[in-house]
Amino acid sequence: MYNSRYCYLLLLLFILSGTSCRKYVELEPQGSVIPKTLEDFKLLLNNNAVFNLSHGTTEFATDDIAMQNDNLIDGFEESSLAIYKWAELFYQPNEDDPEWNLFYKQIYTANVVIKGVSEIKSGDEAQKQQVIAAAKVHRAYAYFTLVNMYARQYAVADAKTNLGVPLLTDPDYTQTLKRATINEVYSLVLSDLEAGVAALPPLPAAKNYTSKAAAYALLARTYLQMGDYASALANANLCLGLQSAVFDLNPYYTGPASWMDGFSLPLSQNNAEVIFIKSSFNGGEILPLSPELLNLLGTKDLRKHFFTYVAPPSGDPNGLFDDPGTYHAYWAPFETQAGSVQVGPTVPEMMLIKAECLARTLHGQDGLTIVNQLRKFRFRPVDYVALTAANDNDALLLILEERRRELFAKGFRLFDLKRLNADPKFAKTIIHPLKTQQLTLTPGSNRYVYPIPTKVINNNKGIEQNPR
Amino acid sequence: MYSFYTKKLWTPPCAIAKLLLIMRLTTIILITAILQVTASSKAQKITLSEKNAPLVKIFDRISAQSGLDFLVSTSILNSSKPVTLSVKNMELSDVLERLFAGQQLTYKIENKSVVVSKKTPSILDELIARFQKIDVYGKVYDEDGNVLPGATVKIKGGTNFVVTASDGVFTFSEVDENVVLVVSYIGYKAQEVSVKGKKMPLKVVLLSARSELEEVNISYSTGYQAIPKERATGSYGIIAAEELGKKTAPGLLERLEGTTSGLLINVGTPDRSLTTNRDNFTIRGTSTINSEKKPLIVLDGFPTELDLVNINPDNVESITVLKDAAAASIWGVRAANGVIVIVSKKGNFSNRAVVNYSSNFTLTGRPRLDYRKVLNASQYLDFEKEMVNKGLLPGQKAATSLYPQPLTPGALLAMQLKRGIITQQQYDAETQRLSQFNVNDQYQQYLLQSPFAQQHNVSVSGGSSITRNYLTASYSDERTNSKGDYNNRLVVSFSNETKITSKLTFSAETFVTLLKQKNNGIGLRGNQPGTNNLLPYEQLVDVNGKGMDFSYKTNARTLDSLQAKGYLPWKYNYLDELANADNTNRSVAYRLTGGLNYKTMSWMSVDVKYMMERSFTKTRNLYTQDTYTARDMINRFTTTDTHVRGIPLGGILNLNDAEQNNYNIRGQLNFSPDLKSAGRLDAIIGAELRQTLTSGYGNQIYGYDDRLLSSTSVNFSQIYKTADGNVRIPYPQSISNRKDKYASVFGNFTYTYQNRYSISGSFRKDDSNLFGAAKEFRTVPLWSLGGMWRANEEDFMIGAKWLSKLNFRATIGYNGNLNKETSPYLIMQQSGINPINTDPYASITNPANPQLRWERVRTFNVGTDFSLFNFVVNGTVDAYWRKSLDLLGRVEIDPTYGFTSLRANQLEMTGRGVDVALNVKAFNSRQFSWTPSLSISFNKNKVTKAYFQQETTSYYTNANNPIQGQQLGSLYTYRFAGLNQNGNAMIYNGKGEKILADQNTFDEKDVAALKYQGNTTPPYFGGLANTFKYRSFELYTLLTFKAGHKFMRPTTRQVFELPYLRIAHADLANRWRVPGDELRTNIPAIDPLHTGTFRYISSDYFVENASYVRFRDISLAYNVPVSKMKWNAFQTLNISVTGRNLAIWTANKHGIDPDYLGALSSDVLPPSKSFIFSVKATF
Repeated sequence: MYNSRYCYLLLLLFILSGTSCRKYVELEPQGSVIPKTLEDFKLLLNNNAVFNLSHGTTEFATDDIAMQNDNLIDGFEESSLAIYKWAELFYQPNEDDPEWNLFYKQIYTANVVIKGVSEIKSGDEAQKQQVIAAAKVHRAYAYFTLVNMYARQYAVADAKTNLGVPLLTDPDYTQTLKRATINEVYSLVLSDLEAGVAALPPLPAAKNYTSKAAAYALLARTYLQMGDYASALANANLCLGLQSAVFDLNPYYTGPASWMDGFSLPLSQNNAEVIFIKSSFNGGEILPLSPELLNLLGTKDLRKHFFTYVAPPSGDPNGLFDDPGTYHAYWAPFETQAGSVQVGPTVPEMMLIKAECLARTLHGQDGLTIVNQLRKFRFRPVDYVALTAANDNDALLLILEERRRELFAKGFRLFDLKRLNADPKFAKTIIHPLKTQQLTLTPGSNRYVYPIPTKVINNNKGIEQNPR
Repeated sequence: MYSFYTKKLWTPPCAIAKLLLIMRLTTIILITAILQVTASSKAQKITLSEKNAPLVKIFDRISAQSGLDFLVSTSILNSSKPVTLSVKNMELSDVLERLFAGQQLTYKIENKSVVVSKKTPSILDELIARFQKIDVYGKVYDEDGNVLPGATVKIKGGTNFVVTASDGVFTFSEVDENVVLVVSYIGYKAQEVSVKGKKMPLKVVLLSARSELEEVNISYSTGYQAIPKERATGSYGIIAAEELGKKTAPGLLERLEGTTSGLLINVGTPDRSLTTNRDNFTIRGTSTINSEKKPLIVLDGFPTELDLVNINPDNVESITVLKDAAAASIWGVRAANGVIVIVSKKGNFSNRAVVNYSSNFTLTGRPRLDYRKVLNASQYLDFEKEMVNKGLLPGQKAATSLYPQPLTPGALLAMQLKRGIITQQQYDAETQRLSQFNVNDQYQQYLLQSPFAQQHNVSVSGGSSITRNYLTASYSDERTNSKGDYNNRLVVSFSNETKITSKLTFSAETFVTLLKQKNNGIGLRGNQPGTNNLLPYEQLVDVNGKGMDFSYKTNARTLDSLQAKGYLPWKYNYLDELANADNTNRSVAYRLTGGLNYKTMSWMSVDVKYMMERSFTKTRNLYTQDTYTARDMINRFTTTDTHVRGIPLGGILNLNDAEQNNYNIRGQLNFSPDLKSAGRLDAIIGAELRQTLTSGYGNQIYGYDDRLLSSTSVNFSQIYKTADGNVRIPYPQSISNRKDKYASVFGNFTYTYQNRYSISGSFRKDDSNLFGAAKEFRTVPLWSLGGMWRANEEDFMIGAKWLSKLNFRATIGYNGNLNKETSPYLIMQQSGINPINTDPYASITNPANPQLRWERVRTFNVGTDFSLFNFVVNGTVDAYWRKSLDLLGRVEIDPTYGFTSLRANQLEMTGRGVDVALNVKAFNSRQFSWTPSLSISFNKNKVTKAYFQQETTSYYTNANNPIQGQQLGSLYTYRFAGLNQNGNAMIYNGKGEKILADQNTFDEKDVAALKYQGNTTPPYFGGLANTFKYRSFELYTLLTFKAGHKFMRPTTRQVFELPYLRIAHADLANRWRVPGDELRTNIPAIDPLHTGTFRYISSDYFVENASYVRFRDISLAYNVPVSKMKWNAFQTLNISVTGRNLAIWTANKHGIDPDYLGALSSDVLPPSKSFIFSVKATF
């Protein structure tokens, strides 16, 4: 009988192995995991290569830049030159638009976090809301910048009809894409930022994290761009109530000639006036400054001393450059990354918003007082001169000039030009020299708006290109 | 006890066979059956005449005449001897006396019944029996001397039989010395062998049933079982040891080339056959795009994850290439790319030890650096001058660093001339001086060398009637074409098979491979486009023989001033680098397989097998402070103001460990019931568990002193303000660990009826942790069905004498493919430390893709095997149609969704192809023979659905993108329209108008501007081998070819990529310079306003036919007639000389070897001619 028993045993073995197979292959992978816990989503939000980068090409389209050196032009980055020329397209049709891709990556990751955290069943609700709010503030920042780059200026009259950018609030790649209106984009930005105000801690543990201060600052920035000066003022005040320190350049000054002083400036994360780190993605590209801006900066301004340098015909001051070019360029040697620029909100930006809004709401002198507070940190005591104005209008002009001096090369100028052009008083035609040519950009021109990337146009029937 | 009365059944004597069959089938429940033979008459006188008749037949005759019943157990009948008896009217008692005289049986007559039982032997009887019983063993061969596995060896008259193992061996223990063996095999004449007085092992040679000339007959190994060729429905290719032995390369890859149709081998770097990761081969073209493309390698029954370099090709008995679904689907989700089954050598059941020794030396010509077409010194100086004059040099500084890219001497001279710092005469004199140099001369002399390789191989085999062993040791080493690189390998392997009892067999194989690589060479690294490389007019060594220093970080002036400030020297010296390099890679790999086979019944056996393999690789790269790597690293973390060193002085030691740890356990039931005339059935069912583990650990140690083994800690969180900006010392530790588990059930059967009709089927289901957690994603059932008809066995074919063999086969089935990188779920990975807040962070590596499915491949195969004219012409033709479903690809998606690409089920495609193998004994006499053998494969595919196809020119021009209705790998190019009067390249747009190639308003949707040029993978490939034998000489030649595909001829890069390249394609010498040149040349001008010329570079002007024929091998061997030698130590002695890569004929007229395009960025040169001297001996 032992043969048959043997067979049954084998049969049993097979059945057993069949059922235990499932258990055998249950294996949680290591390293690459499916995000499940709140900690996992926090790790995603702490990715600085995704979330702490921002735009960096918008300066090329503004009056802060002038290419006066032909050799420099020949060697210049093709796409930057296209932006400088307000060309039909900024990138080759088969090239990626790095800024579009970057912001939509931020939006996607934020959407992943928002969706993922809200699906977590257990855990502390307040903590979950805080993580969701953090993701929303990042998402708001991305949409605000996108809509100002790739769409026309917000105006109450046509914001509900003018096209903004595609509005994705779900991490799903099968949804069809079409451009939402400018108003829809701004609505999401505002509601996301309000969510941030509601749930975030007043100040962050590190400056790449979101906070209530950051949410207020971005609200102030958004309302200013929308022309809602009262709301902008209120939020700037709320922000300054949480953080108000201004970084003083004076202690770092060692002598008139040394642009190398820039090396000793602190990093963004250690800089008291930085509220929320977002730095330009293309850190380090040469920004040749226009004579107009250099003239505005004057000779005594420490910001010129620290943040610009001149490459003379014989090479650079240190003898390092063999380049024969002569140009005066922006220089940010030590921000978050070498050469990158802090374009996220800072205390000076809040002070300038506050000052502008005060001047626009008939409190010009109060605004000037704030600006003068800032200027004390930007000039050596011997060189410091307080600004004075006869009326609110003059005060506003001075405040806007100070805004340009303080924030040059930090990603503000294009957006400022777009909103200021709406007012005939400030509207301005920009001239860009290019070898023998003089290129002009008139106020309200279509060329103020970045073209939607060709890849996106080609992939989606529903997405219209911006008129050029 | 269970009695089995057959009274009613027992009338026609012929039914006895059937009865026994029933009994055999029911032995699962019946331990013993008693047979009762009933009488019908009562005569007491018996008349009989039987020769060698089974005992039971005699019982039947006696019972018919006497009316007596015989009661006998079947086990007794099985051990009884056949009887020869002739009696006439003899008394029953006398007849019985005579009948039982020769048997170990006794009988008793009880109540009209004869009860037969076993004789209880006396001690003397037993002693005598002992002497009379002998062990019988031997080997079955065909006339060609090939072993015949699967042959049936039977003891005549008995029912005891065995089937020869894969090496043709059979054994019987303790049988009567008078027995006669009957050896039979389908397609052969059965042969009787009397064993009395014969010496063991017996050598039984079976002759063909049809003719004197018989083809080689082999079993195919699927890794789970061996299927005789005559019953295999699937498409297989088999490469025997002898064929592998004709080539002498140390790597298996080279030896496989051109051996079987459908197998395409790309040998990239023949001088590096002892390095890992060079397996590059496909079976029947690709059936996937982004998943595993390599065929599954099965070694001694189990898949191996070890690199092929660990396998000693001299230890391989046979390789079976499983091509179609019926052959491969038993391997389930890993079989879509085909399977290569390697069986290693076993010893023989012989008391005599056989020792083999072989040794060979390979001498290779010097590397052909001049194969790559580049600008020479004066051309490059001229080019640099133009670049400076046009403002393209110096380009924009890289502003992320304090330092600009250093200008080349040529560009500096041109700039000084332009600015008036030097005069034209000074410029001319200096460029004249530089023009005399050619960097390749010294590069060849100081950094490259002629490869050399040697191999020694010893094997010992032997055994006894119950055990066989095989032990080999092999040592190989090679010097590659790059000075400083050296590899060696030692493989020791052992295999054993032991018959513990007649039913229980134990077998084990094991090997250990030690690999060592010295990777100190610079290779072609210094001679490639890039800022840190050599210029055509530079010299490695000055006139005093001292190595020159090169300034790559920035210009020499700055580097000198930094060194004066306390930085370490920051210059690069090729000779010092080569001398100071200390990079080694050592690995140990071992593998153990062990198994037990237990024959539970004559028709069923159980296999339990276990495999374990491990490999440990240790990479140790020591950068002493003298090396550029260490000096650069230390300097880069030195602060600019205070010169504090973030990384201490001393060496930097890089240690990396990688481990593979896999096991596999399998239980398998094998069935082969004897259905007699009902046919033959072989079936297996089984289950297996498998785990693979890949883990790694890496670290970098600073301030290392190799003498003291001391090192220093560094501060990884500190930010250093250095010349490169704000930097942290990268955290150097890395850990990886990946474990995958599989659980599978499988089954397979082959049924053959009347030796003519076979059907087969297989089934497999794999469950694994791959592909996500939900079970609907995890398992995929795969199956196959096949049939074969041996047409020439049909009666109506007997007239066709010229036709020696004609088989038709057809199979259909599904295979799967794995992609370990994909998951339908969102996957994140912790990526490091956020530099802003020093907290960890994670990145999304795989976006959620809930629509993801397994890749599957359906294959339909029809084939024929034929032999004509007494096996003079032998061939196999297979045609197949393949449909690949849900193929995964990395697809570009709209960046608005948050990522630019995604792995998704990208396409479906069909493939078809034909594999032809032809072997002709063209001339065959005792003195001379010529055997050409040809293998040709044709393979074509078509994308039937491309889900993510974009109608843009950039999508179409990337040959990796699938295009619906086209082949995978289709080459689309723009159409070149010549140069305009300014020397700018023009192309045609879709309307046929000439437009500038760099036009940035070009409409990406203008797909009509493109032209289809063909395919980048060869539709035809194969090999032609010729073997000539004359007396003791054998000449072997191998030509390999690929045909019908296209390649893009390398040319110069786009203009904006040209600055700082330091090496440029020779096409640039022919560029447009002055108006009118457009009539003379097609190479555009260097024009700062038109720098993006990629549409010109991907235009039809550069399309070339990639067909070629390569004269891969020619080998002349001499079998020394050892029998005539005085000193008779050898059984065989063979010496040979082989020439490799002696010639190539290409369809393109540019002298480009299509397997080695000579792109400047490639670090591989085409193989130089080599000669191999080899000795083989058997003792």
